[in-house]
Amino acid sequence: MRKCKKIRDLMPDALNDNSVLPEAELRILREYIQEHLKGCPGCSQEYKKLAGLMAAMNKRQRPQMSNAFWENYSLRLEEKLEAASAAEEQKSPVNIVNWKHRPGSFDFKLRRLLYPVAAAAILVVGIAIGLHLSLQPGKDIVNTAISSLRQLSPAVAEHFDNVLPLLLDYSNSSPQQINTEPSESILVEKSTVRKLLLENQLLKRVMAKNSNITVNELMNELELILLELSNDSGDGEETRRAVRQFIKENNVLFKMKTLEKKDKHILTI
Amino acid sequence: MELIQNYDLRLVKQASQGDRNAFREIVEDNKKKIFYLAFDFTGSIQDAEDLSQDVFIKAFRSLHTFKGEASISTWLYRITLNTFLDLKRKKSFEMEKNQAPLDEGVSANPVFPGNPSAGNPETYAESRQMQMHIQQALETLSPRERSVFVMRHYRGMPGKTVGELLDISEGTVKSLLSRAIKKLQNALGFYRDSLDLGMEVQR
Repeated sequence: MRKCKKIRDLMPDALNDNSVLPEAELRILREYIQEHLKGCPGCSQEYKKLAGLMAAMNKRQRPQMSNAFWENYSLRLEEKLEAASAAEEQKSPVNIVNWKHRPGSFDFKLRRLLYPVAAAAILVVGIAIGLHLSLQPGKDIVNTAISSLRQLSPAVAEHFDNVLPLLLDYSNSSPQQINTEPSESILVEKSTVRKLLLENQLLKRVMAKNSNITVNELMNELELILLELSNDSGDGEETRRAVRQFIKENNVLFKMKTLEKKDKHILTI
Repeated sequence: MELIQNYDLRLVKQASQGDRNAFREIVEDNKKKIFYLAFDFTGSIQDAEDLSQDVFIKAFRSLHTFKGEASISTWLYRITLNTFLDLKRKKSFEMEKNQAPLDEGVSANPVFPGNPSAGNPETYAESRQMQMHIQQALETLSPRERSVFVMRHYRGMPGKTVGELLDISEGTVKSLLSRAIKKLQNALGFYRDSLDLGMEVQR
């Protein structure tokens, strides 16, 4: 069974006509898979289905652009670059910051749109901590998170779509299990906490680029807590108490609601 | 490889010091690669042009951040991925869904293989329909799933490299690819029988 999973993971590479793997390596890979397929009807079926899909996707055509297009492309880009350079040259460093952060600018809009993503991250982390602390085995973190997050905004829903596979991966569940099996199978585990920590770090990096100090500070605190939780090898009572204290002191839920309102407001503009 | 990276580093350094010809060289060497990558992500010529030009403008502004650890192409791939994901996140990147994606020409009138002037009109119509279905199937994927699928399948990149470009683990790449494949199989399910009959499964 373990071998089947390994074989299935390798199938996309073996069936990839555009693979950058060396020919010899590809040949060995394909032979290895074919050998397994001889004795495994399940994987054979899977391979056939995947080969069908890959063949279909390979029928995708790309437009063949004319030489005139490419010449114009370079000219249009030159014009855009000229405009961008002229705009930057006219600004002093201070003004550039103001320009970037003025309402309606790309950077400003981007920063504001990152609020829901930050809210999503905090909410997921909050739910994870909450469930971890509340020790309610019947709680279903994924469903709770989905329903809470989807209400925020399409941007948050999309972000959650990216987080979901991580949650599923690290709770050893499949999407089917969410709907059909008791929620014990998707309890938060330490590995999930670790993954949330990584996700948190990724978001922090995005935040740092956009100088969102407040969210950054909050995430720094959450990161410390997650770090403690993930390294907690004892009964963790002390850590949990510290976490409760942190949530109380920093009013995390209140902050999340504030962000949620802001987000709704932004999206109605 | 090292020679190429040294060359890339020198070129970027010249460009960052204001040498416009050096930057033009970077654009000329990479514009097709980046345009077609952007086309794979967006499915529209106009959006691919906008996205790829945004990539070069961003690259121009951040020339000083290029350290030569990877090639210029890899660096531009990363910027393309991030720009695409940012734009999708922003929700301001509205693809012209009401039009057939391949009809979105610009003044230069692109030519597709299977153009009616070059062959059987019936085959051309079937091929166009197939293109539309493939594009619609790709649009069922989330931006990250689509990024992973395009980089893995159309660019043939190993999972590890894709993970590095997207700042995610190889395991997450696998997971996103597997989800993408399932969604595409569902979306293109009605082709399955004909494809199974006509294709070469044994490799």
